[in-house]
Amino acid sequence: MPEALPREPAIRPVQKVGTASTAGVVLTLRPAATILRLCAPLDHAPFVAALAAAGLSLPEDPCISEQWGDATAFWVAPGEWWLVDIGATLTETTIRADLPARPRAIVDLSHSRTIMRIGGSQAVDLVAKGCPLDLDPTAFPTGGCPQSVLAGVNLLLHRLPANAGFDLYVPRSYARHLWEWLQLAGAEYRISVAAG
Amino acid sequence: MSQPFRIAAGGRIERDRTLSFTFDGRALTGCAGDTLASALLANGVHLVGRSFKYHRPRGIYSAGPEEPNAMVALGPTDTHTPNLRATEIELFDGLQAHSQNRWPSLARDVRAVVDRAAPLVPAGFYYKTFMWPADRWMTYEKHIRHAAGLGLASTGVDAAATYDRRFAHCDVLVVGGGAAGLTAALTAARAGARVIVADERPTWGGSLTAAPTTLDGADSRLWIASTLAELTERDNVTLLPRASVFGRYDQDLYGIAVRRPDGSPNDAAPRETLWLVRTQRAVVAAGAIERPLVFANNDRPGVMLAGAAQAYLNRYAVMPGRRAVIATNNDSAYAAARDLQAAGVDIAAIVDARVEPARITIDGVRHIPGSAVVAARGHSRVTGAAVAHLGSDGKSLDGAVEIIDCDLICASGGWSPTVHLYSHAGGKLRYDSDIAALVPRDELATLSVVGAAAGQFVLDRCFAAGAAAGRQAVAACGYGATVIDVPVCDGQAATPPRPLWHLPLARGHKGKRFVDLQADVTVDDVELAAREGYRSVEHLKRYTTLGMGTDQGKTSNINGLAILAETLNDPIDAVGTTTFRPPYTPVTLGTFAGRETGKHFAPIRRTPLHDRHEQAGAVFAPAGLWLRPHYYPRGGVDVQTASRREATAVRRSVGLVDVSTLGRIDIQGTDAAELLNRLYVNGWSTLAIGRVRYGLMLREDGMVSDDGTTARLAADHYIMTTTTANAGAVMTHIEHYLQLVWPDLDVRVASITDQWAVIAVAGPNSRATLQRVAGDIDFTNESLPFMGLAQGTFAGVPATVFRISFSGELAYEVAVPADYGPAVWDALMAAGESFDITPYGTEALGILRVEKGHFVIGAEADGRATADDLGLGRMQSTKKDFVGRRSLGRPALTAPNRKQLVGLRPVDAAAAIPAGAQIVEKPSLIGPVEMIGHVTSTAFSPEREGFIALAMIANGRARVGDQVFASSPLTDTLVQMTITNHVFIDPNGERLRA
Repeated sequence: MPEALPREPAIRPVQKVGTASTAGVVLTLRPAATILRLCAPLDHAPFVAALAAAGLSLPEDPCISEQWGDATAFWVAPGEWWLVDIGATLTETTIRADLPARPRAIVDLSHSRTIMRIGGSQAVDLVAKGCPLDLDPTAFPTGGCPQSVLAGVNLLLHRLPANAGFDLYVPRSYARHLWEWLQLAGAEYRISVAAG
Repeated sequence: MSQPFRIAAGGRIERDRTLSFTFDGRALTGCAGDTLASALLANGVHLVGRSFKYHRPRGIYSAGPEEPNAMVALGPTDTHTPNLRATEIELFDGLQAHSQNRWPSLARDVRAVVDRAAPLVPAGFYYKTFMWPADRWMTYEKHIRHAAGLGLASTGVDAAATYDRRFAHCDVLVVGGGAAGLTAALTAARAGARVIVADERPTWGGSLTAAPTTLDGADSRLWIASTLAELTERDNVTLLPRASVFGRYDQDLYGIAVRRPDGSPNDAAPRETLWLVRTQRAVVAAGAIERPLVFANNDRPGVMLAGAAQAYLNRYAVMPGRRAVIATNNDSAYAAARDLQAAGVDIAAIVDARVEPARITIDGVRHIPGSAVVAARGHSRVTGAAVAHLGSDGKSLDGAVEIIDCDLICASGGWSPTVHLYSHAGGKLRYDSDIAALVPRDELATLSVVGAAAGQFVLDRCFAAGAAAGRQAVAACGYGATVIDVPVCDGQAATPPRPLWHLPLARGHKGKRFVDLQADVTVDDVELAAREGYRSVEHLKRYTTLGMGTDQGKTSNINGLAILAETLNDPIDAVGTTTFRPPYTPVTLGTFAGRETGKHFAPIRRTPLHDRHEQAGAVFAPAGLWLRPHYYPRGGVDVQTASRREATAVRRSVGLVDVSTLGRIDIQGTDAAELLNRLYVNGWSTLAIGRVRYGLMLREDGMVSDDGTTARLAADHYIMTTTTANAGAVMTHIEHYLQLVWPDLDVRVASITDQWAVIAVAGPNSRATLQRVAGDIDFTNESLPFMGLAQGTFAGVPATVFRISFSGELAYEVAVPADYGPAVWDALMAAGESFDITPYGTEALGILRVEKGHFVIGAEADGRATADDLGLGRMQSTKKDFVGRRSLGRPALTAPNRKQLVGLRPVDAAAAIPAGAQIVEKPSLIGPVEMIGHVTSTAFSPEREGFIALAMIANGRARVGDQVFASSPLTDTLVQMTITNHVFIDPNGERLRA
């Protein structure tokens, strides 16, 4: 349904040089995703069972995500998760209607975040320029999803498997600022910008 | 290669890579691997600057970060970086450097007359001399500042220069890449710990590179190379050369300024990067700094620290002179003499203050024991040394003075451990009389000091201490033990030094004896300070400026405090030392600013409609971090003309404004209404689903903190609106209370400001405009009354419409998911075309709200206003508790004569009202006059065809109709005003409900 509506994203990237062999950083604007913030009673067994039946289990450890197909569940706060791209499997309506225990709150944040992917061999170097987190895999493993700051912007960072870099969930109003910052700060690594 | 003082062989330079540079415009050459200082010396250039106060000629004194004299400006004149130490600047092709603090030239400096007038300008002279008349101080100060000083800040902007920042984390940070540091790093690295090693030089090895050293029976270069090879290969090690660890901060955060090698092939690389390193343990192996000997004219070009002369020889293959006198009180200068002699320098004499022999002997060199160099001869270059025998007390001379011709005096007064980072971490120092220096007194929890920095001057013990510190650090981080073989090397202790803080003056060889070369502080100044009662070392520092230069007295502190101790007849421990504070070496401001300059000073937030505003030609103004349209200057008109046109359009037809910046908080849960009851002064239990209510929030002290509307979407679901400026603060306020004060409430909050694009459509034609847009929402009064809301499809997208008004007109706010915002804006512009629908900015918004008499947070509600002051006292519920309520009973909040919100109109209708004016009752611009209030907001009202204002005036509501004056001494205006009600249009709100 969203495809039919007149969406205008926060940024429209301009493709920039960078053959894959020389670019140390590859910056990509990710397509819009469904993001639902779910406050759920994980201590309620039927609720958890219903989630499992839908193919989703919620990570209980802080700042860790769980993947199920294209869908991801991010732990964002005690008792709070983001469900990203749950698509047809589980929609806000089905969560509200089908689950035996009423979730404490569901908020649609789909339009509030712009998702940027930073890949390439020097992705970590670029993120380390503006983010005070320890980015070592021992402290920030694959699947980790801490919320921190990057170049003055509060955001969520998701570390992708197979050294693919990070997905940044950037508050929409800051997206253009951060997009520009990443390109300036990444210039020394020969940055390649892929169009949407 | 026309560098007359370059030795044919040796050094760690690349001889076949000649680099061209200029100094004061003079074209010179050096070699890759040189510093600017070594390249200048290779060319025989010793005179490189003028001193701070006396404008005395100065030369290159050291070979490291402690350099007090050789400071230059680097780069083209208009964009140069001043006060850089020539001893640390790596030479690159095309380098331009200039000397400082001289006019018209380095060789002929007119202000050098100050030197001859020195008796008139002792320490603190300006406190005594320029006291009267007091009002002339500003004039004196200007001249003093002009005469004294170092380099000047550049006036231009170096657009090509970028600075950057880098966060890093490690288990063990090793400061210093010499014998102890590299050993500690290797030990920690082999255990698997994450290690960062930083050294301020471009090359590794520390003092091992300054002197030929044998390790395991071979040249130390081999050990350095193999150690570095292993460290480089390991993934768990980061090597940072050219990195000055300038400060240690709380929770083991270290600041490191890392320079780019200039001429780097990667042009996009930043010039300097601020590394912020958080570590579990630090090993400080920062070495030691040699102390000067304080004799007459010890600042002449050609007087140099003995270790520096040795370093220039061994690192850069530069001969710092042809004929040298070695002046020392310890063994280390003997090694320098040995190397200089081997390189062909004629050693005229070794003058040793000690009677007992040194452990090193040098054949064929005249040795003068028990004596000292008491004066340097020569002006802009040393021509000789005056030598005399020291009395047993070290404070007198016996026997005749002998003049020995030379062009170089290598001086060594002993070595001071580099304890700065230890001091930053709160460590205290003690005086170690064996080495006549201050050393760390205690073990610190997360920082250990090893090697020369700990006062350990015997090489084999430096290696052992480095290995031990490495093992201890990794053990603390939970790693297993590792074995490391330390190299076999010299373990011989030196003959103890003879403390020699300053030398007596010899008859006929008077001259200034400089304790602090950079700040031009002499022995006489220190003694004067003591005589005048400055007995604390902290007072001494401030009175004489000892140690207050950009070098922070690295070469002068110990001599200075020892002279004070001597003068006071106190032990050195009792006098103590000033505290070392960051930065260890000066850090350019650009490094701290990083990329946060110009338009990147702070993040910029843009609304989903930003491009639409740009297309409409909006002039933007910052609102917090947001950029909001200020006005739309159709046809290039000014802000007044545009905003009046926009405001009139809203009153007469229809306008639209982007209100996406207002904070919006989603509130869900069975206790949502209870949360609102506790946050707002008014009650929420009665708000029906589908209705909106205005709410007022107080701080704990009872003052109004924020306001906005909250809508009830469902039984347990509300959307709160905050002001743009306070969105973050209100969210923090709510989370604070939910987590710490009311954790029992079943309610969840989430910021959804970024989720929505919100457009306010206002004016008598707003309903008709909305009705023309395709959708299923019924905008009639019956279906969507004032303070109601409706949800449905609007312009093809899901929308929530709130019927609320800030302008005082019939108005609606249309909220849609952010990405749909532009399409909805376009639909509204098209639907309102026949009404000449007008986008309006924050300036017109301000006019409309002043006309309507709405206060805003920050102007009327400036943190000092209560709800009652703003005319909303009756909103405060008496049936429930809320944040700030208990403060309302405080006497000051109920006192008579509090300032209250009122309106103002000028008596002369055409008069403008000065913003920020004080309200007075007497027509006087000259005080003292009682101020009974102040103007908070002014506007030209198109509706009232004149200026109007809001003001906070004492007991104002009872004074409506009174005449007062708005007094603005700043703009020299005084306007007679009439106090009115604060609502200037539609006081009964008929338009809102139309």
